Amino acid sequence: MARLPTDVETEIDRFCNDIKRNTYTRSADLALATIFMFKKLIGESKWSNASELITLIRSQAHRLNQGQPVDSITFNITRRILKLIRDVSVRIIHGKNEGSDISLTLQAVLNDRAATSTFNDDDNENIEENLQPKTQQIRTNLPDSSAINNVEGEVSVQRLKPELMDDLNWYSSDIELSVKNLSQQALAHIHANELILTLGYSYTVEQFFKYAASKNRKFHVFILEHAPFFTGHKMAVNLSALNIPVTVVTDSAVFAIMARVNKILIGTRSLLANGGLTAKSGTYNLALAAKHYNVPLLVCAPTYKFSPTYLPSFDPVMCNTFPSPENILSYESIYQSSLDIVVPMHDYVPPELVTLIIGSGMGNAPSYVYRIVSELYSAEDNDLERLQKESLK
Amino acid sequence: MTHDNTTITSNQQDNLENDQTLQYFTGIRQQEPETSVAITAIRTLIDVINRSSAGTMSQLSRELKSAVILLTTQTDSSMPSVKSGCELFLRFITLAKFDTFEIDECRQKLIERGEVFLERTLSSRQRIAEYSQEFIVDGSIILTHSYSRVVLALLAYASKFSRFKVYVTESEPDKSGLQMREELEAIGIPSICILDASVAYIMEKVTLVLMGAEAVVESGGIINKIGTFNIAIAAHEMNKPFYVASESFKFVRYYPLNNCDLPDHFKYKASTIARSNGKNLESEHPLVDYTPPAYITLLFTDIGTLTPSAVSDELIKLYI
Repeated sequence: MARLPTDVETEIDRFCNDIKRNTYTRSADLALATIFMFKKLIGESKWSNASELITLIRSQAHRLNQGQPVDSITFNITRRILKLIRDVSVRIIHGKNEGSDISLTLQAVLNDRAATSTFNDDDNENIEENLQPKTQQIRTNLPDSSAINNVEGEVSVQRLKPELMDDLNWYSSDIELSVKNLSQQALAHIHANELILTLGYSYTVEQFFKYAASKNRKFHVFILEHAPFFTGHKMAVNLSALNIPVTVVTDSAVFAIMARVNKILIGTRSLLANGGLTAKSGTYNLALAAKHYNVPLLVCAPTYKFSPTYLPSFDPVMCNTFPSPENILSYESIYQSSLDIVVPMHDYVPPELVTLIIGSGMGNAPSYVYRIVSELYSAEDNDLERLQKESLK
Repeated sequence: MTHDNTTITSNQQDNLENDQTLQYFTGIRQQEPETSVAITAIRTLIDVINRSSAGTMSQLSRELKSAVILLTTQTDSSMPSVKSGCELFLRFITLAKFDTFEIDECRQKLIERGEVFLERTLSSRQRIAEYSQEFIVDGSIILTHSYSRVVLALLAYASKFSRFKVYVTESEPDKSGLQMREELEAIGIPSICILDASVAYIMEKVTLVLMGAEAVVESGGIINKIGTFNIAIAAHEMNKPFYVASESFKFVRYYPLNNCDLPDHFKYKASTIARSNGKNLESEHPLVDYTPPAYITLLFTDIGTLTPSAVSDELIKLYI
């Protein structure tokens, strides 16, 4: 593996430390920091063509994701950037951007060259590179078939870098605007005199309410306080500053108040490929109560939270975080040494319980998420979490 | 008179070729029982191209189509698998474009392409095993049904990384579950054979249900050995994940609405249909059933882990 320049190393270390210290309060900040760091990595380390760059980024991926779950924003951004590199490569070679996302489809199975391709460096990875446009795909026996398969090997640093940097800049401005774009849909979802329930604090949801209130929509918000972190209190303070009527409710009262609620609006930590969520602990209870009363559950999720992973069984080690139990029992307490306290941060909510996902563009059913995910990321990069698991062993 | 004579000889020749095709198919089925039916069908079609004396492409494609009809009506193998394998293969042939009009060269190209296609499909089981590995964790208790080569390959691969136990249904009427259990034991996976009737009883102990499929239809549902639907309903009721492992060559362009809607040649053996002589088949036992997509959690395929709704997407992308 190529060595990285010292200041890139320092940058990566700082990024990892920032994540450990929870410096990024908003998820968009984390997303932007990740892109910033990748810009530095791409701009300052040594690589001569696109496939070298892809190998380099893939080798750093699990290091960047240290201490984070497998469905993290860092991984999503990494995958998205890898996809951008692949797309730019195809664009440079073929002059247009078509047929680049067909690598893992039935079509590719039927493609004769896919089977004989020798592109991949890993032996156990059979997902062949398959980037040529469809018209060429169905032609047989091109003399230079290996060259076409190995599109990334051909794209030199001089041609790739400027275009890629343009795309990255565009990508980060897209993320900056994502919450704004998302919140502008508020009037379509929040109607007059509705009673809306939310859980804890979420910047995205706050902006969503803020936009609706700024357009003089009258509505009432119930907020579950989200013990033991009590971020719901912050949400209540922020919303009442905007003159939105607010009621704070304890988490345990979720079922009791559900019958009165018109709809539920929550944020999420990540959105999985099957349409399920990993969200704040307590969301599963909320979703089950909502199902019982058939209250619609809307989830605000900007595009960078879409993750191509499936959570097989909710594995608390890979997919959850356990912060300090200080909030529940103070360190001075005499019981501290004799008690075990577990504070899981997240819940998995299966897709059956979710009504609608409000993305940056428009609302989508959970069953449609796999489609968005397959457009956002390249299937070859879905194995990042496997690499992370292996690095832990 | 002369005209009649030629008809008879061409008929005889057709019969001869048909016999050869069927012989080749049954030959592989007997000699290599571990090869899946769809792959056997594809190999038979390649053999048809090999033997063909067709002078034009359209004649060749007519011969292939009649071979497909032969395989789907004259053999007793699982019809949905044969159908999907043949359809994909024909689609693959029609996608071919040639630089030459010389029939022999074209035929050579087709055979080459066919072999590549075959090679690719043969590697799909290994790929499925790799993709699905993370879903089988230590201590899992897995329920499976009947005999499935994909499931067997998947579990064999998973047993290298984790320890788990398997319940296999006996799977009447052919008791194919017994063979499944034997082969699992041979690999060293602890397995227990249960009665078909005790599926609901066992379900509360089970962590996940894992099935093969004879065909995956456009809705994302599956056609599989009779009894699969029962298990799916029980799993759904008890909130157990219901996974399906299937190679992508089993995707078939067909949209059944319910179980009555399945065509007879899917549900019964060709010999049963021939015996009934067009009469009512209601008293016969169906051999497969249709499980709607609502009961399926995920499908493990060689083109990735898919939700049922992704299946129709893949089929549309292919046949559009």
